[in-house]
Amino acid sequence: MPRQARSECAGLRMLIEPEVVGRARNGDEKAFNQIVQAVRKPILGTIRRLIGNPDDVEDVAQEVLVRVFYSLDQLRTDEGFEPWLYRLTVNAAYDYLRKKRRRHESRMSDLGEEQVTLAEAAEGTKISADANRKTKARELVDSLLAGVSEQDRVLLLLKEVEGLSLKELEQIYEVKENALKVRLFRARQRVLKAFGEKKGEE
Amino acid sequence: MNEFPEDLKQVFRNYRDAHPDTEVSANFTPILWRKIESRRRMAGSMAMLRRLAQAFAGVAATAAVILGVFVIPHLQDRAEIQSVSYAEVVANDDAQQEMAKAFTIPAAYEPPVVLPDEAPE
Repeated sequence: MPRQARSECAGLRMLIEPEVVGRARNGDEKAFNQIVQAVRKPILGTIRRLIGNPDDVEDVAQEVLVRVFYSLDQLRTDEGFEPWLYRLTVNAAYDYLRKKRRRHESRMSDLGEEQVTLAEAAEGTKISADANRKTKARELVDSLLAGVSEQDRVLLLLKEVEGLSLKELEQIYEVKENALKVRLFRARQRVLKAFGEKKGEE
Repeated sequence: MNEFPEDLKQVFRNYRDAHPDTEVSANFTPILWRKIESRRRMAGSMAMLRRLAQAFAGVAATAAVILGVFVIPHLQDRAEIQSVSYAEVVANDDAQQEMAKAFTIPAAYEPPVVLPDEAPE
Protein backbone atom coordinates (compact mmCIF):
# COMPACT_ATOMS: atom_id res chain seq x y z
CA MET A 1 0.00 0.00 0.00
CA PRO A 2 1.45 3.36 -0.96
CA ARG A 3 2.45 5.80 1.72
CA GLN A 4 0.00 8.60 2.12
CA ALA A 5 0.63 12.24 2.81
CA ARG A 6 -1.64 12.22 5.83
CA SER A 7 0.53 9.84 7.80
CA GLU A 8 1.38 12.45 10.46
CA CYS A 9 -1.86 14.36 10.20
CA ALA A 10 -4.68 12.15 11.36
CA GLY A 11 -7.03 15.13 11.58
CA LEU A 12 -6.50 16.13 7.99
CA ARG A 13 -8.90 14.10 5.97
CA MET A 14 -7.52 14.44 2.46
CA LEU A 15 -5.93 11.28 1.16
CA ILE A 16 -3.28 12.16 -1.37
CA GLU A 17 -0.41 9.93 -2.31
CA PRO A 18 2.96 11.69 -2.13
CA GLU A 19 3.73 10.29 -5.56
CA VAL A 20 0.82 12.30 -7.02
CA VAL A 21 2.07 15.41 -5.24
CA GLY A 22 5.52 14.76 -6.67
CA ARG A 23 4.16 14.50 -10.21
CA ALA A 24 2.15 17.70 -9.75
CA ARG A 25 5.30 19.44 -8.51
CA ASN A 26 6.98 18.45 -11.75
CA GLY A 27 4.25 20.21 -13.73
CA ASP A 28 1.94 17.24 -14.44
CA GLU A 29 -1.47 18.92 -14.78
CA LYS A 30 -3.32 15.59 -14.60
CA ALA A 31 -1.76 14.99 -11.20
CA PHE A 32 -2.76 18.48 -10.12
CA ASN A 33 -6.32 17.73 -11.25
CA GLN A 34 -6.24 14.57 -9.13
CA ILE A 35 -5.24 16.68 -6.14
CA VAL A 36 -8.06 19.14 -6.86
CA GLN A 37 -10.58 16.30 -7.02
CA ALA A 38 -9.34 14.93 -3.70
CA VAL A 39 -9.13 18.16 -1.73
CA ARG A 40 -11.82 20.44 -3.06
CA LYS A 41 -14.69 19.14 -0.92
CA PRO A 42 -12.91 19.13 2.46
CA ILE A 43 -11.24 22.44 1.61
CA LEU A 44 -14.62 23.99 0.83
CA GLY A 45 -16.01 22.69 4.12
CA THR A 46 -13.08 24.05 6.12
CA ILE A 47 -13.25 27.44 4.42
CA ARG A 48 -17.03 27.56 4.93
CA ARG A 49 -16.50 27.05 8.66
CA LEU A 50 -13.60 29.49 8.86
CA ILE A 51 -15.08 32.43 6.98
CA GLY A 52 -18.75 31.83 7.68
CA ASN A 53 -19.97 33.37 4.42
CA PRO A 54 -21.32 30.71 2.01
CA ASP A 55 -21.33 33.06 -0.99
CA ASP A 56 -17.57 33.47 -1.13
CA VAL A 57 -16.50 29.93 -0.20
CA GLU A 58 -15.80 28.74 -3.76
CA ASP A 59 -13.88 31.92 -4.60
CA VAL A 60 -11.62 31.50 -1.57
CA ALA A 61 -11.15 27.77 -2.27
CA GLN A 62 -10.18 28.54 -5.88
CA GLU A 63 -7.72 31.16 -4.65
CA VAL A 64 -6.16 28.51 -2.38
CA LEU A 65 -5.83 26.06 -5.25
CA VAL A 66 -4.38 28.70 -7.58
CA ARG A 67 -1.78 29.40 -4.88
CA VAL A 68 -1.14 25.66 -4.60
CA PHE A 69 -0.62 25.43 -8.37
CA TYR A 70 1.89 28.27 -8.46
CA SER A 71 3.72 27.46 -5.22
CA LEU A 72 4.07 23.68 -5.43
CA ASP A 73 7.78 24.10 -6.12
CA GLN A 74 8.16 25.71 -2.68
CA LEU A 75 6.90 22.56 -0.94
CA ARG A 76 9.85 20.98 0.84
CA THR A 77 8.66 17.37 0.83
CA ASP A 78 5.78 15.57 -0.85
CA GLU A 79 4.74 14.19 2.56
CA GLY A 80 4.33 17.72 3.95
CA PHE A 81 1.60 18.54 1.44
CA GLU A 82 -1.43 18.48 3.71
CA PRO A 83 -0.18 20.75 6.52
CA TRP A 84 1.10 23.04 3.80
CA LEU A 85 -2.31 23.01 2.09
CA TYR A 86 -3.95 23.83 5.43
CA ARG A 87 -1.47 26.69 5.87
CA LEU A 88 -2.43 28.13 2.47
CA THR A 89 -6.10 27.68 3.36
CA VAL A 90 -5.66 29.44 6.70
CA ASN A 91 -3.77 32.30 5.01
CA ALA A 92 -6.46 32.68 2.36
CA ALA A 93 -9.10 32.74 5.10
CA TYR A 94 -7.14 35.47 6.97
CA ASP A 95 -6.84 37.48 3.77
CA TYR A 96 -10.55 37.15 3.14
CA LEU A 97 -11.47 38.14 6.70
CA ARG A 98 -9.06 41.10 6.64
CA LYS A 99 -10.46 42.37 3.34
CA LYS A 100 -13.94 41.89 4.66
CA ARG A 101 -13.17 43.90 7.77
CA ARG A 102 -11.61 46.62 5.60
CA ARG A 103 -14.80 46.80 3.55
CA HIS A 104 -16.71 47.26 6.81
CA GLU A 105 -18.78 44.20 6.14
CA SER A 106 -19.13 43.00 9.66
CA ARG A 107 -20.16 39.49 10.46
CA MET A 108 -23.28 40.87 12.08
CA SER A 109 -24.47 42.28 8.75
CA ASP A 110 -24.08 38.82 7.20
CA LEU A 111 -26.10 37.34 9.98
CA GLY A 112 -28.62 40.06 9.35
CA GLU A 113 -28.91 38.89 5.74
CA GLU A 114 -29.42 35.33 6.89
CA GLN A 115 -32.05 36.48 9.33
CA VAL A 116 -33.78 38.45 6.58
CA THR A 117 -33.76 35.36 4.36
CA LEU A 118 -35.17 33.30 7.18
CA ALA A 119 -37.84 35.89 7.90
CA GLU A 120 -38.83 35.97 4.23
CA ALA A 121 -38.97 32.21 4.13
CA ALA A 122 -41.06 32.16 7.28
CA GLU A 123 -43.73 34.25 5.62
CA GLY A 124 -44.49 31.67 2.97
CA THR A 125 -43.29 28.38 4.28
CA LYS A 126 -42.64 26.76 7.57
CA ILE A 127 -38.97 26.80 8.52
CA SER A 128 -37.72 23.39 9.42
CA ALA A 129 -36.60 22.91 12.98
CA ASP A 130 -33.27 21.68 11.66
CA ALA A 131 -32.54 24.88 9.70
CA ASN A 132 -33.48 26.92 12.74
CA ARG A 133 -31.15 24.92 14.96
CA LYS A 134 -28.27 25.33 12.50
CA THR A 135 -28.81 29.07 12.27
CA LYS A 136 -28.80 29.35 16.05
CA ALA A 137 -25.59 27.31 16.29
CA ARG A 138 -23.92 29.59 13.72
CA GLU A 139 -25.14 32.74 15.43
CA LEU A 140 -23.96 31.58 18.82
CA VAL A 141 -20.43 30.70 17.71
CA ASP A 142 -20.19 33.85 15.60
CA SER A 143 -21.17 35.99 18.57
CA LEU A 144 -18.72 34.16 20.86
CA LEU A 145 -15.88 34.62 18.36
CA ALA A 146 -16.74 38.26 17.68
CA GLY A 147 -14.43 39.32 20.51
CA VAL A 148 -11.28 37.60 19.23
CA SER A 149 -8.98 38.52 16.34
CA GLU A 150 -9.29 36.85 12.92
CA GLN A 151 -6.15 34.84 13.69
CA ASP A 152 -7.54 33.56 16.97
CA ARG A 153 -10.90 32.86 15.38
CA VAL A 154 -9.23 30.68 12.76
CA LEU A 155 -7.01 28.99 15.35
CA LEU A 156 -9.96 28.18 17.63
CA LEU A 157 -12.05 26.87 14.75
CA LEU A 158 -9.21 24.66 13.55
CA LYS A 159 -8.85 23.27 17.06
CA GLU A 160 -12.44 23.04 18.25
CA VAL A 161 -14.39 22.56 15.01
CA GLU A 162 -11.92 20.95 12.60
CA GLY A 163 -10.61 18.85 15.47
CA LEU A 164 -6.92 19.30 14.68
CA SER A 165 -4.44 18.26 17.34
CA LEU A 166 -1.71 20.52 18.74
CA LYS A 167 0.82 18.49 16.76
CA GLU A 168 -1.05 19.20 13.54
CA LEU A 169 -1.46 22.87 14.39
CA GLU A 170 2.28 23.00 15.07
CA GLN A 171 2.93 21.74 11.53
CA ILE A 172 0.47 24.19 10.01
CA TYR A 173 1.61 27.28 11.90
CA GLU A 174 5.26 26.23 12.12
CA VAL A 175 5.52 27.42 15.72
CA LYS A 176 6.41 25.66 18.96
CA GLU A 177 3.68 23.85 20.86
CA ASN A 178 4.08 26.13 23.89
CA ALA A 179 3.47 29.27 21.84
CA LEU A 180 0.32 27.69 20.45
CA LYS A 181 -0.86 26.69 23.91
CA VAL A 182 -0.43 30.25 25.18
CA ARG A 183 -2.33 31.68 22.23
CA LEU A 184 -5.10 29.11 22.55
CA PHE A 185 -5.33 29.77 26.28
CA ARG A 186 -5.83 33.51 25.77
CA ALA A 187 -8.36 33.01 22.97
CA ARG A 188 -10.26 30.46 25.05
CA GLN A 189 -10.34 32.85 28.01
CA ARG A 190 -12.05 35.50 25.89
CA VAL A 191 -14.54 33.05 24.43
CA LEU A 192 -15.28 31.58 27.84
CA LYS A 193 -15.93 35.05 29.23
CA ALA A 194 -18.29 35.84 26.34
CA PHE A 195 -20.02 32.48 26.89
CA GLY A 196 -20.49 33.28 30.59
CA GLU A 197 -22.02 36.62 29.71
CA LYS A 198 -24.37 34.96 27.21
CA LYS A 199 -25.49 32.45 29.81
CA GLY A 200 -25.96 35.30 32.29
CA GLU A 201 -28.24 37.09 29.81
CA GLU A 202 -30.38 33.97 29.43
CA MET B 1 -7.14 25.95 30.87
CA ASN B 2 -6.39 23.47 28.10
CA GLU B 3 -9.95 22.57 27.22
CA PHE B 4 -13.34 24.23 27.03
CA PRO B 5 -16.04 23.04 29.45
CA GLU B 6 -18.34 20.39 28.02
CA ASP B 7 -21.28 22.74 27.27
CA LEU B 8 -19.03 25.05 25.23
CA LYS B 9 -17.50 22.08 23.41
CA GLN B 10 -21.02 21.09 22.47
CA VAL B 11 -21.62 24.58 21.05
CA PHE B 12 -18.66 24.10 18.72
CA ARG B 13 -19.78 20.60 17.78
CA ASN B 14 -23.19 22.03 16.85
CA TYR B 15 -21.43 24.63 14.73
CA ARG B 16 -19.55 21.83 12.95
CA ASP B 17 -22.81 19.97 12.33
CA ALA B 18 -24.38 23.15 10.97
CA HIS B 19 -21.56 23.45 8.41
CA PRO B 20 -21.06 20.03 6.85
CA ASP B 21 -18.67 19.68 3.90
CA THR B 22 -20.63 21.25 1.09
CA GLU B 23 -21.06 19.84 -2.39
CA VAL B 24 -18.87 21.38 -5.04
CA SER B 25 -20.61 23.20 -7.88
CA ALA B 26 -20.25 21.71 -11.38
CA ASN B 27 -18.16 24.57 -12.71
CA PHE B 28 -15.76 24.76 -9.77
CA THR B 29 -12.87 23.08 -11.61
CA PRO B 30 -13.39 24.84 -14.99
CA ILE B 31 -13.44 28.22 -13.20
CA LEU B 32 -10.33 27.21 -11.24
CA TRP B 33 -8.47 26.43 -14.49
CA ARG B 34 -9.64 29.70 -16.02
CA LYS B 35 -8.18 31.52 -13.00
CA ILE B 36 -4.93 29.58 -13.31
CA GLU B 37 -4.71 30.41 -17.03
CA SER B 38 -5.49 34.08 -16.49
CA ARG B 39 -2.81 34.26 -13.75
CA ARG B 40 -0.40 32.53 -16.14
CA ARG B 41 -1.20 35.04 -18.91
CA MET B 42 -0.76 37.89 -16.45
CA ALA B 43 2.58 36.44 -15.37
CA GLY B 44 3.55 36.15 -19.07
CA SER B 45 2.59 39.79 -19.68
CA MET B 46 4.53 40.85 -16.62
CA ALA B 47 7.57 38.92 -17.85
CA MET B 48 7.32 40.57 -21.26
CA LEU B 49 6.93 43.96 -19.59
CA ARG B 50 10.00 43.20 -17.49
CA ARG B 51 11.98 42.25 -20.61
CA LEU B 52 10.83 45.45 -22.35
CA ALA B 53 11.81 47.49 -19.31
CA GLN B 54 15.23 45.82 -19.27
CA ALA B 55 15.72 46.50 -22.98
CA PHE B 56 14.66 50.11 -22.48
CA ALA B 57 17.08 50.44 -19.56
CA GLY B 58 19.87 49.03 -21.79
CA VAL B 59 19.10 51.50 -24.58
CA ALA B 60 18.96 54.34 -22.06
CA ALA B 61 22.33 53.33 -20.59
CA THR B 62 23.90 53.18 -24.07
CA ALA B 63 22.44 56.57 -24.94
CA ALA B 64 23.81 57.97 -21.70
CA VAL B 65 27.30 56.67 -22.54
CA ILE B 66 27.13 58.14 -26.07
CA LEU B 67 25.99 61.46 -24.66
CA GLY B 68 28.76 61.34 -22.09
CA VAL B 69 31.50 60.60 -24.62
CA PHE B 70 30.55 62.67 -27.66
CA VAL B 71 27.95 65.29 -26.92
CA ILE B 72 28.80 66.60 -23.47
CA PRO B 73 32.43 67.66 -24.27
CA HIS B 74 31.12 69.59 -27.28
CA LEU B 75 28.49 71.28 -25.15
CA GLN B 76 31.10 72.10 -22.53
CA ASP B 77 33.16 73.99 -25.17
CA ARG B 78 30.13 76.01 -26.09
CA ALA B 79 29.40 76.58 -22.46
CA GLU B 80 32.87 78.06 -21.98
CA ILE B 81 32.23 80.57 -24.80
CA GLN B 82 28.85 81.43 -23.36
CA SER B 83 30.16 81.77 -19.88
CA VAL B 84 32.08 85.02 -20.77
CA SER B 85 30.03 88.09 -19.82
CA TYR B 86 29.14 90.89 -22.24
CA ALA B 87 31.36 93.41 -20.40
CA GLU B 88 34.27 90.97 -20.62
CA VAL B 89 33.68 90.51 -24.34
CA VAL B 90 33.58 94.32 -24.91
CA ALA B 91 36.66 94.94 -22.75
CA ASN B 92 38.49 92.15 -24.47
CA ASP B 93 37.47 93.52 -27.83
CA ASP B 94 38.65 97.05 -26.87
CA ALA B 95 41.98 95.74 -25.70
CA GLN B 96 42.40 93.81 -28.91
CA GLN B 97 41.59 96.88 -30.95
CA GLU B 98 44.09 98.99 -28.99
CA MET B 99 46.74 96.37 -29.48
CA ALA B 100 45.95 96.19 -33.17
CA LYS B 101 46.20 99.96 -33.50
CA ALA B 102 49.60 99.98 -31.85
CA PHE B 103 51.05 97.49 -34.25
CA THR B 104 49.26 98.39 -37.46
CA ILE B 105 50.71 100.78 -40.03
CA PRO B 106 47.85 102.83 -41.48
CA ALA B 107 47.34 102.26 -45.20
CA ALA B 108 47.74 106.01 -45.91
CA TYR B 109 50.93 106.34 -43.94
CA GLU B 110 53.58 108.47 -45.53
CA PRO B 111 56.95 108.83 -43.93
CA PRO B 112 57.74 112.46 -42.91
CA VAL B 113 59.59 114.35 -45.64
CA VAL B 114 62.91 115.65 -44.47
CA LEU B 115 63.91 118.83 -46.35
CA PRO B 116 67.58 119.52 -47.02
CA ASP B 117 67.68 122.83 -45.12
CA GLU B 118 66.09 121.20 -42.25
CA ALA B 119 68.59 118.50 -42.35
CA PRO B 120 70.69 118.41 -39.27
CA GLU B 121 74.01 119.72 -39.65
